[in-house]
This record gives sequence, C-alpha cells and structure tokens, in this order.
Amino acid sequence: MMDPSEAKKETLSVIERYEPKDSSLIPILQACQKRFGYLPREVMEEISLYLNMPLSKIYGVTTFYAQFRLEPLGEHLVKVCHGTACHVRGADKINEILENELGIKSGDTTPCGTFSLERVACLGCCSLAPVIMVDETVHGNLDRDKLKKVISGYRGDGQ
Amino acid sequence: MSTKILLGYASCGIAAGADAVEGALRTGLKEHDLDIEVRRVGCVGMCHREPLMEIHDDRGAFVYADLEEEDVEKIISSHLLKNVPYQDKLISSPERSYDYFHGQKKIVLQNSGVIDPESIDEYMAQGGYEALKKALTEMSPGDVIEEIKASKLRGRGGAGFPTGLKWQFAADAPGDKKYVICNADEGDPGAFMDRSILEGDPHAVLEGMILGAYAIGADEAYIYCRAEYPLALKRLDIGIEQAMDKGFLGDNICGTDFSFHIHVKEGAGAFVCGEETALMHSIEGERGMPRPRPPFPAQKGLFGKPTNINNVETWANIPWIIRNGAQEYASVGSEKSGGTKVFALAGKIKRGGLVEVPIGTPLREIIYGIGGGIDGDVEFKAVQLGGPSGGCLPAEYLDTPVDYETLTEAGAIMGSGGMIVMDVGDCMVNVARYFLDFTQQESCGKCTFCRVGTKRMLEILDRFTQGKGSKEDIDMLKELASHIKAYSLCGLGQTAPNPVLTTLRYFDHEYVSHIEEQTCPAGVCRELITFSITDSCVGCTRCARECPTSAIKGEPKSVHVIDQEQCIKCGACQDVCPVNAVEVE
Amino acid sequence: MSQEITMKIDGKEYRCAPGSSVLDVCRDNGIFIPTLCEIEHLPEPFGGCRVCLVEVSGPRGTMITTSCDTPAADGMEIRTETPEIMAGRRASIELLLSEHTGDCAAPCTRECPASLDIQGYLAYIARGLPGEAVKLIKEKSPLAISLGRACFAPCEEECRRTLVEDPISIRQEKQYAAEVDIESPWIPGIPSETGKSVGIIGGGPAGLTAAYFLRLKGHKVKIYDMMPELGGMMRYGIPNYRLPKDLLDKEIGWILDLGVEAETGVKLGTDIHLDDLREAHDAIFVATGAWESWIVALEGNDLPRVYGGIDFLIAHASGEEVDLGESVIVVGGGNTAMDVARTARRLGKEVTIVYRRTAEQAPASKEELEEALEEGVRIEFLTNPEKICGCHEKGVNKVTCALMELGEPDASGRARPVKMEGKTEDFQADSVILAIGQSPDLDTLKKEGLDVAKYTLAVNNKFATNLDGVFSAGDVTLGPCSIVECTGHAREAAFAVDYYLRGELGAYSPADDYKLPFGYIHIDDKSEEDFADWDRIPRSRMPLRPSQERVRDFHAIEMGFEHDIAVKEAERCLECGCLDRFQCKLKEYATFYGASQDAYAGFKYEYPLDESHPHVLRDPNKCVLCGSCVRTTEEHGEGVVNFVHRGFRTIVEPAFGDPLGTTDSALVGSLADACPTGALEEIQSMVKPGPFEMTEIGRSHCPGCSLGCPVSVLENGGDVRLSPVEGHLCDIGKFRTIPVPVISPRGEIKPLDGKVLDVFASPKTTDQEVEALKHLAETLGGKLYAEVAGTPTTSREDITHAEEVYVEEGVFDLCPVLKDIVPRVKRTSGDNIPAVVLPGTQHPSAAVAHAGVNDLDRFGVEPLPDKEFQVLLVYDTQVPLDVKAEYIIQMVSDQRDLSPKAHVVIPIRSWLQKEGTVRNMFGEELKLVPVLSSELPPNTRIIEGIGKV
Repeated sequence: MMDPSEAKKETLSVIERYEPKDSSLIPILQACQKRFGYLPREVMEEISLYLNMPLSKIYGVTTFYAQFRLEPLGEHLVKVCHGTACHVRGADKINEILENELGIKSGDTTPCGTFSLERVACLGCCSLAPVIMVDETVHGNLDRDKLKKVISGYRGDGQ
Repeated sequence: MSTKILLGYASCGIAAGADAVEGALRTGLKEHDLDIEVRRVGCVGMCHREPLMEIHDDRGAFVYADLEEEDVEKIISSHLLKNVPYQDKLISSPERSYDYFHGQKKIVLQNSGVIDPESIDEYMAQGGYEALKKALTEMSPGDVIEEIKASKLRGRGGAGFPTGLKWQFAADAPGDKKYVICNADEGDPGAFMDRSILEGDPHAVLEGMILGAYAIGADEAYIYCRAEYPLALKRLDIGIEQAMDKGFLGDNICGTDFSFHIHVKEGAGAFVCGEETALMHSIEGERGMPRPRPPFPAQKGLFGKPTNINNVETWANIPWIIRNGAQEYASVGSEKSGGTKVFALAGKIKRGGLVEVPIGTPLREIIYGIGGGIDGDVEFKAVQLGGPSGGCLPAEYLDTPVDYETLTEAGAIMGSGGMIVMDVGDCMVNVARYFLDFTQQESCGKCTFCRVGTKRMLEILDRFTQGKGSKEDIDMLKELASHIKAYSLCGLGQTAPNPVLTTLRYFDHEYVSHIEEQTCPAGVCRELITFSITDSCVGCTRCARECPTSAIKGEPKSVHVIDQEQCIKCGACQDVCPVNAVEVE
Repeated sequence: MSQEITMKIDGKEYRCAPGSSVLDVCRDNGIFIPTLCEIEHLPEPFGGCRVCLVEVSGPRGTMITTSCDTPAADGMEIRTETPEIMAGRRASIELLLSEHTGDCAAPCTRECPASLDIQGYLAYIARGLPGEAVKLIKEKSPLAISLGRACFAPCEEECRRTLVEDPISIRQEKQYAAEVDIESPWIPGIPSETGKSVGIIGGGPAGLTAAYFLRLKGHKVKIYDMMPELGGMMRYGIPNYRLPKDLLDKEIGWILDLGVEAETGVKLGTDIHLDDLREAHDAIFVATGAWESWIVALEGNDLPRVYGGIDFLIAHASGEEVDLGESVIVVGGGNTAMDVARTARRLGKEVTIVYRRTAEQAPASKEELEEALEEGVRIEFLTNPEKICGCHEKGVNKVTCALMELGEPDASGRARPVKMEGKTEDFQADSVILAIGQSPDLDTLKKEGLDVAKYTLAVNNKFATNLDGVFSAGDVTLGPCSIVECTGHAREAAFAVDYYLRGELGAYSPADDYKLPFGYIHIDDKSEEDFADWDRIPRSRMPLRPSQERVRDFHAIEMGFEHDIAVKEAERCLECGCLDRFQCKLKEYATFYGASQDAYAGFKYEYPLDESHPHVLRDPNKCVLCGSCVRTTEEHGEGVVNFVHRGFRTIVEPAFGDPLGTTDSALVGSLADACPTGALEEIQSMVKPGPFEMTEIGRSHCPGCSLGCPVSVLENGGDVRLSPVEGHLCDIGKFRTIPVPVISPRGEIKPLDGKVLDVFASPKTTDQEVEALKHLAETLGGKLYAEVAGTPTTSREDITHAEEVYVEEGVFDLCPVLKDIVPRVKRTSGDNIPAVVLPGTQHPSAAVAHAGVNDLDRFGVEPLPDKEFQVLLVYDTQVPLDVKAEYIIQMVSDQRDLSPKAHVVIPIRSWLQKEGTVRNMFGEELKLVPVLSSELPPNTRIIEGIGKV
C-alpha cells in the first residue's frame, strides 16, 4: 500500500486539472486509475476531500462501473470477449483454455502477477470472433493452438 | 491521376494485423523508392477480409484482402512496379467488383473507408460541413426540425422514435440552457456500427450534432463514448479540435451568433448507460441507474436542463439529409421510416462486417446476398437481431423486410443493428441463457423486477441447460418474463426477456428436448452431451496429452477411450484430433 | 393548462394540483397503495421497488404501471385493486422475498399451535417484566397457568438454542410468569356489550378459550359443563401433581370474573339439548371434548379390574376409589399412560407400563418418562399385550404379552414393531388400565342433530357445523389433543363465531389472524456451525421435589423458577425473530397479498450482521434495496451508506464495507426510521430486545438541542422510544435524550441560614421553571446563571430559503437535523457564537444553536462566573466540573447527570413528564407535553418548596 502523504501528493497532481464538481468524478477516477493502475482507498479518500463528496458515494460509483478496479492488476491484462459472435464461436471454450493455461479463474491475477484474466462484454471485433485483447492488442480468429501461442508470446520466455 | 493506397485502419483492421501490413508497405515503398501516398482510412465494411489495401491508379480501384506481411512485397513488385495486379489476394478490380457491396446503399458509411478520418479537409472535400453552412445561412432552427421530420428519420439506437419529433420536444421545452448528447456507449454485444462510424467518419457525427444543437437551441453537448473504443475517442478529439479551428464549433460558429461546445466523456463500462437517464446520471458523476420517466430528458435532462439524446448513427445521418434534402432521404427506405440502417453482420456467416442497406431490405438479401450465406454451408437456424433486447428469428422470417414494425411484431427489435447469424450447431436455449446472463449482469440493481426477476429467469435457464428443468419451470419462466417486461423501470429490464420469449416462441421444441429428454439437439450444453472416440482413431495420443483431466486412455497406435466419469466435456480432444475421431452425442 | 386536475380513482372523482403523482393523490385521499421506496417529502420518486402498481386509463390506453412515477392527468381513470394489479404487486413482493433472509417470527413461535409470541414473552421475562410477559400470552390464550404447568411444549423442539446446547425451558418460563401474575391477574378491558349471547357447551381448554375471546369481543357468554367443576380434561385428565387444582381454580376464576357465566353438572343430551340452547343464544360453541376411553379388542378386556385410562383418571380426580388391587399393568406409551401410571404409583401400587414400541418412539414427553421412572414405575418397551388373563369372579391376574422387535417403517415413518416369533412373557397383575386413546361421544352429538365425521364432529373451514349458528373446536373436532392445540384452535373458532354474530362469516378466513402469524420469511437451514461462536450456557432445570417424597402425595412436583433463574434462562434466548416485524412493511404487504417466499426461490447472498453501531443494527440480508436510507443520508448532505456493486450483487453499505459504527454521522437513527424492513433496525434500549409493537402515547418536543424537533413518544412495557413526527430525528434525540429515572433523593436540605443561593440552569429548563428559579435566586440574594449563546433574530423560513448560509463550526454536531433545514451551507463563519447566520447587511440575522432546547438569553441570564459560591443549585444538568461551592444542591431528572459533588440531590420530573414552554433557535415557542406520568409534584412546586426550607 502507498504511503499516505505520497498518495495524497500524487493524487492531487492528477486531479487538480479537473474542476471540483460532481460531474468530474468519473473522469477523475479514470485518470487516477490510469496513473495508479487501480484505485487504492487512499486515492479515493483524497478525491472525496477534493470533490467534497462522501466516500460512500465514490465507492458506490467505483463499484458500479466495470472499468474500475480496487485491486492492482497483473502485468498483462487478458480480456476475453464474450460478445454474441464470440459466444457462438466458442468464447466459453477460449475462456476455459485460458483459465487452464494460466491456472486462474476469470477476475483473478496469477500469483506471480504476470497476467490478469477478465471477461468482457464485447470488443466490437465480431468478424474476427473469437477474440481476446491482451493489453491494447486484439487477437482474433483464435483456436486452441493460436491462443496458446499468443499467451506464450506474452510470457516473455518463449515457452 | 496519381496512384494512392488506402489502408483499412479501423479497429477491426488493426486487430487483423493492419499495423504489420502498413509497416511492410512503407518499408517496401522506401526500398523501391516509390513516392506513393498511403492513407489510413476507416472501415470499409469488409471486416471478414481484413487487413485490406486498396490501390487507386488511373485504371481504377484494386482491392487486396486477407493480407499478410509477405503479400506486401509481392503486391509492390507486381502491381506497383509492373502494373500487373497480384491475383492471389485481389478481390475487386475495375473489371470485377466484390459482390459484398451489391444491394448496399451508403449514406452513413459513405466516407468510411474512403477518406482519412483524421483529416477535416478530406471530409470537406466530400461535401462535409456544407449542410451546416446551408442550415446557418438558409434555414431557421424550425426549418431544420421540419426537414428532419420530413425525412422520416427514426432513432437508430433501438426504439426508433421519430428524430424530428424528439427534437421538436426539446426545442419546445422552456429554458435558456439546453444540452445535446451523442450516445456512443454502444453496448450491445455483437454491435460495432457506431464504433466504425466514429472511427471512419467522425466529422459526420460532429456536424450532425452541431445541426441538432442549432435546431433545438442547445449550446453544449456531450459525446458519451465507450472507453473500450480508444481509436474512436482519439479521432473524436482530433475532429473536435479541427472543427474548432475551422470555426464550425466554438463561439460564433461561421460568424453567426450561434455558439456550441462539445465535450467527450468516456464511459466506464456499464451497458445500462445506453439508457438515456442512466447515461445522464453517468455524465453527472453518479451511478448509472435509470430514473423513472416522466420527466423526459426533453423537459428535464442533463443537469436538470432540457436535453436531446441521439445515438451515433442517427447523428451521422443528419448532414446528408440537410445536404441532399428530406425528399431524397425519405425516398430510400420504407414508407414509415426513411433512409438506411447499418448492420453489424457476424456469427456463422461467410462474409461478416458492416452492411448498410435501405430500411425494408429483406433479411435474406442481407444474410445470403451480402453476407454470402452460412459459413461452411450448413443449415441456417436463426438470426439474432437487436442484441440483449432483441430476439432470434427462424428461417420462416428470412423474407421479412427489416424495419421497425415488422421486427417488433415478430418479437425482435431493430435495435442498434447487431445481426448475429446462427446455424444448426447453435443451441437456442443456450443463446437465450447467454443474453439473459448478460442483461442480468448489466442490470443496475435498482428495480426489483430486473434485479431479482432476471436472476430467477437465469436460474431457470441454467436448470434447462443442465437437464434439470421441469414443465412448471417453463410456466414460471413465461410468467416472470411477462412481469419483467411489463413492470421494470427502464428499457433494459423491459426488453431483457425478449431473447427468451422469441426462442420460446420459435424454438419451443429445443426447450422440450432439454427438459423432457435431457438432450441438447445442437450438442452445446455440456451437462447433456458426451464425447467419445470412434474407431477412426489412429492412436496419435494428442488428445490424451491435451486432456486437462487425463480422462483419455489408450496405447499409442491404438484406439483411445474417454473415461466418462473424468471427462469435463471441455472439447479439447475434439479440437486437437487430426482425424476427426472425436464425436459428440 | 387548467389549474386543477380531475381524475377518477376506483370510480370516484378526485381533484388534485398539477404536478402530483397518482400515488400522491391516492395517499392524500386515503386510498391504500403499497410502496417500499417512496419517501413522501422528497420531490422525485425513486421507482425502485415496483410495488405501487395501479391500472391507468388515459389517452395512451389502459396499462398497469407504477403510481409513484405516473403524473396525475386530467380525465385519467385509475383502478387500484384489479386481480392483475394484485398479481403484479404480489409478484414484486415475492421477488423481494426471494432475496430476503430473516425470520419474521422465531421458530418457537411458528411452531406453537396457539401462536404465542414466545420470543416476546421471554424478552419481557429477561427484562424482569413477567407481568408484561403474561399480557402478551393472554393476547393468544387465557390459559397461561395451565400451559405453564402442563403444555407439551412443541416450541422447545424447534428452539434454535438446541444448536448451541439445549433448548430454552420455555414452558417453565411461562409457568414462572403466569404464577407471578396469579394473585392479581392482568385483565384485559371488555368493550361495550354487543347484546349477542353465545352458549358454550364444555368448559375445558377449548370452551374456556372461546369464552374468553368471545367475551373480549363484548358478547355475553355462558358455559354449560357436565362435570361438577369447570376445567374439563385440565381438571379431570391431568393429575394434580402436574397441574395443581388450586392454580387451575384461579385461572378459571379470573376468566369467569370477566363476566362469563357458567352452569355445571348439566350434560348435553341428558340435561340440556341443542335445540333449546339455540333458542336461548345467538350462537352455540360445542367444545365437549373427547371423554370416551378406547378399549382395544383384546381378549379379557371385559374382565373386572380392566379400566380405560381416561376413565381411571376422571374417577380419581372426582374422588372415587378405583379397585386396583396391589399391582397394575398400564398399557400405552403416551402422556395419559404416564399420568395413569404415576397416579396409580401415588396410590401405593406396583405399576408396570407395557408399550409395544421403544422409548424413543413413545409419544410421551421425555420428561414425563424420566419422572415416571424416578418414581418407581417399571416400563417394559417392545412389549405388546395379547391377552388379559383372569376370571370374571376374581378379575385380572396376569397379562400375556408378545415381545416385539423393530421392523420396516410404517406409514408414520416409525419403524414398525413386529412380533418375535414364539416369544411371550407373562406379567402378574391385579388390574389393567388401557391408556391407548380416547374419543368424543359421537352418539350424543348425532342425536342432537349434528353431523359427524369418522371419529370427530364435522366442521367446515370456518368451524361451522351443519347447524346454523353452531360452531365447534377442540378435541371434539380435532380428536384428542393437547391443551395448547385446543386453546389455539378455539381462539381461531371464536373469531369465526364473532364474524358470524356480526353477520360477516363469509369474510372470515383463518389465516387472518391465526395460523400464519408472520411465518412468511424464514431461514430453516441453520446448523450448529452457524452458532459455533456462542457461549455455552446450560439450560436451567426445573427444580422438582425428590422422587421418594413426591410419590407419596399428589402435590405439585415442580417447585417453580426463582426470579433470577427465570431471568437468566430467558436471557439465553437467541432472539431469532425479527425485532422489526411489527414495523416491517415487507411483512405487512406479504401478508396482505398472500405472497409466498418460495414462489421464486433461488440463490441469495449471505451477509454477516453489522453490530458495530451502538444504536442501529445493520442486517443486509433483510435489505430490499429500496434506497430509502441512501436517499435519506443524501438528504442530510451525508453519505453514511450508498449502493454498491450492481445487478443481483447490489448491496447498500458504507464505503469499502466499513462497519456502520465507524461513521461519524449523528443521523444514523434516522436511516433506521427510513428503513421499511429490519435491514437497519433501531436497537432498543432494553436489556433484551423483543419484537414488540410500540404504541404512540403522546407527542412533545426533543430537548436535545435548540431545534426542539417534534417527537412522537412510543412505549411498550415501560420502554420508551422516540420517533420523528415529520422529517428526521437525530441520534442525540433518538438515543440520548430518553431520561434514566433518578431513583431517590439523597442528602438533606439544611436551612440556608442567610447564605446566598445561586442557580445554574440547563437549557432544558422551561420558561415556567426559569421564572420560578429566577424568583428563588433573587429571593435568596443570588442570581440565575446558564450557558449563554445569544438570542435568535431570524426565522426557520428565512434560513430555509437563504441563498447563502454561514455556519459556525460545531453547529452541526450540536444540532444534526439542521443539515436538513439548511440546504446549502456556503461558508463557515469565524464567529465565536455557535450560530447559523444568514449573510446580509451590517446586522446579520442569526439563529443561535445551544446544547439544549430553550433559549435562556431572553431571561437575561449570565454565564457561570468563576467564583466561590455559597450555595449553588444546579438545575437539571451536570454539575460543572470546576465549579467551587460550599454547598451544592442538584435537581436532576436524569440519573446520568448525577454528580458526587452534590451534597443534596432532589429528583424532578424529566422533560417527558413535565409541562411548559420553551423557545428554540428560531424563536418559535414550543409546548412540552407530559407524555409520561410521574409521582413527583410539578417541578415549579419543588422549586417553590426549596425557597420555603
């Protein structure tokens, strides 16, 4: 966990660009998440002071939207698309292969912190179904072998 | 005319490898010392053949598809150096056009895949911002509204409310401060029209919004766009900056006293924010929970002010209508509804991608004509329209014209335009479960029927897919569906039962099989299927090595056997078997 | 647009102002619409619960929709009670029930055939209020004493304390309470006479119960009984050592004292006839019981000295001698067999019980079995009599029994005893008593014209027989059963008779009041693991007289619980039932709409209880996500809780799931007020909370701060709870202003001998008290002092509408509810006066906050100077810590204010007991109303009295 005074300073440097009004909340949370990778409690407490908004409300907003995380992520975020096209083309199976391959369940991070695995609604690349997105890159038309290749590419050890 | 190269550079193209192709192309051109313009363009619609490259020379346009890095050098050496088209990847030439575009009518997508979306000049070269100038000089705000009414344009976001009328309400609402919102929170799984429009032609959306603001008297706007669309967000930012520079946005637009500012808000991942009141709450910094209507946003919307919300595609139609006139627009489409509709065609289809057709085009023409029919030429089973709010239509409906009324009658909805084709290998109970699982997870949790009701429906469908359902469950499912439809607070809940209801209506026999015979005819529902290895097994041992539970036994070079007790039905064996010896029952 | 809207609701025309919702209009006109999420004073509807469905016909056609968000419109037609609406409302409640976990009523109460509120009376006993416990019992049955002595207590089998170690001694607790009540029993009020009369045939548990409840409805009641004395089986079937007759006499006595007539020694069919009684009364209640012994078809059953069990007990109770010889065989394994055997044992006989099943299978209670064995009764299990041997001249001499073993289960699920081939045993005996069952005298009933079923009198589901106006309940219709079953049954039937007498029998349904008290929402899946953290406290055992002693007489064997034991035992109660069940709207609607909790049963989340807050318990399992608390805390400008997550996972909780107790809000109690269920419930100030129905006993003003919020005072069993009249009440008001009575005066007032007396008064002091104190001080050469704050110069109206309001730091801590009144706090002033100040010109107007309700500045008081006082009278507040005085007199209304520094303590009336006027921070004059009574003279008189000493 972050040093509180450090967190305060860092957070302020991120959020000062936003007007202290209610409608700035979500952009501020997004900016903070970009900066810290997730939303630590200290950061949210700082936002609460800055916006003069109850912490419970900020917490309520944070937990409502899928984008926000309260826990740090792994190095690589693997998003498995579960859009309709991907679903009919076997997204569940892709998900299962990844869970086996990484040894974690969706929503979790590998113990070494290399990968986080996540289900997402639709990445909008339906013509390439099934697809996953690793960090910012979309990988489409996947099958078992291709998927394993993609993942080992990110492992960095070429396994 | 000098040669130029257009490179498909929308998300789908990038996902398919456009970056590598572009890299190879630029390197190749440099190596061969060719000074040819390479232009990144938006999605041309043929997502199934990305990465795409289009070479324009004095003979016309040549389209190369399914490109890989190594193809680039061949195209350069053959087409560019020898003027001989490289046949292997050529899908369209001046002599032979690709039939994907037959039957399509491009209004919204006219610039997509044609112009560089990051260049306002290219947009203007195609007639962009002409409509705005025309409106500001020749038309009163009332004239603009009348024009939109006459065009018979209806909201492309789902419900299909007449756009002109909606504008009229906002225009008539008392108040000095009014807002315009562009709903770009395209959330239907299986829909990507709005993303493509924003990526391919952002100025069309901006110009549409400026026209709308002028018509209703708004001076401020928000574009609420999914954070999952980084490229669209980037191009919007660029577009807004360029429009400000050119004086189409900001204070005193085109020298008039009309001023208008647009902000871009990134959504944070909540499907329900596609609902107007939830979306406004989200902009205001709240949880995206819908509130009861009335008051409607036109009276009391964003920050309590009169507000008009339209989605991306609706806005993108506006400049065309003003430029070409309502008559021209209304002449395309059906009697009650003018213009075209963009569909995202995907699923078990040969040629998936973006399709723009006049409203009223029959489904068959889209699926078989444009889409080329079912992938693998197996039997068509259903087409899912309108995403989680829509429904699944069977083959009997293939000749149904796609418009708001007929689809609603059939139990589906036009929706935002997702069109997922399914074949005999798709289980309709599983599909219904899939959509309900989605809405259930995306329910905001506020109202009883949606929060608890959809959960209970999902539990029933879970029982079905596990072979544990009963006939009484069907009755309860129907009862819950009718209550949820009738009494939920917002559109998400009110339409959530639709996928279940249409599958019950058209594929009742599949439910019966799951319940009475505990079988899944499509072989999808895991609890109801078994994997086995046939005699054609060659004993290569791949399946045994792949099996995560070591359920497969057998000596090398002899037929293997699956231990059904240990089998978790993951299908890994089937995936890796080189001789298709794994069967599903 | 017209000024007024005219619309039709259920066919009647109503007018309302534009902007009203359909729900508003219905509510304003007293038309019932259920809602869980609508908060009347908030402008926007929430629209979450979806319960307030109505049918709306308007220009857009007819549809069922929620009324909270439907604006009233001219010409609109509303229907509020169609079957479709009812179904929709029920569905939404059923969906809510499917995610709601909690016991409305505790398992013991659900199991009780008479629906006694067991958790409630145990709570009263734990709090040392056995009288209140009896009152609660008497709501459901007049037979507290008999039940306390002789109930078979099925409640104890359901008691969840069993999952910790042993069940609560529920029957014994009831016995304790009932017998405390015995000398001057609590008697409910009788309404005015209806002029109707009911004849009750049979004065046993059913007849007495019916008599009691019919009398409580104002009907004239007369009991006819065939025996010399009333009580039925309680008198003639249950031996004295279990239910002493002197106690029974008292129980019957107070029932008769309600004005119930009784005629004994008259038997139906012989002395009296139904036709005559029907002439004499407006309704007849047949409760003739089951008095015939079953005699099995057993060889030798006609021999002399073979008796029926109940016959034997009746004969004994009637003082007849029965010839038993020296040794007795009792056949049977039920409570009657035990009663018979133990009675025979007390008559000095050798007694052997033969029973064909095992001890575990015996219907007799474990206690009775044990006690019988202790008293020297022999019991032969798996022994079935086949033949009674003897001759008609000399009577019985032995019984031949087959020895049995257990076989396959029978229809009742118990393993069936089967004969062991060829194994029999002979038991020598002089007499045999067959205690194997009894039945009603159906022949007589038939002769009187009543239809009978196979073994019982026939009644329909409204307790009516085939004869108009003739009803029946108890053993005669149920077959032989227990006191508690009879009393429960008869109560229900009595209500049917009452409906009949009012000519409304058609509207009567048993579920109205009887069988399903609150058992809609419950958790059955508890196990020992759930209670692993509880301390093990063994069950208190009822002290019994030693067996050698008790077997020699018929006196009561149970010696009763001492007060301390009873309290300790009651404290073991786990409080399973929801404390909010009398306030719970979900329960109310579920009952009203007949909603079933299992209609849409499915997965539920399980949340731990949050017991961190001293006054409010948070149980998310009961939350229906109506948002009322979230919106209320937002209204206060706070955010104690909010919605978290979404979809089915949505929950309302503080940020990061922090415990409620960590909040620094002083308005948490108002969230509990807003909660329609028990998800946020106010923890009562009592030692042992119970599911009590609090009733309003009056209204006054809270003295906690200078707002003086109006409060409604609720009371139950001497416990007081405060609730807001409108708007909200802060935690200071709700939890801290309830005075703890000062028990007695302390010290002695000495004559002042010319010393100067000064007074320091609290801001709780009324104007009248101030006048008296001022007069007192001035007369005795002193002055009146108090904390000085300043006099208000602005009104509530001005503050509410001010664009900008300055608030001194600490004001909201002093007056939390001010947060609701000051909608937009702009700035904090740097002034020293704790004040809410409107911005303005040179002379800002101000409301002045202080730590009590009354603005004493008006009386020209000064702050307490730093000096040595001769005599200081501290009035209704704590003695200031650093005060120096030779002699301190403290007048106190709240024990918490007591100071050891005071030389003399004089108790005075508290704010809930006194009358007077005060003026609040807006200069509004408020009247304090004496809601609670007091034995003390009015405070002004006490003050005057001081002056005279």
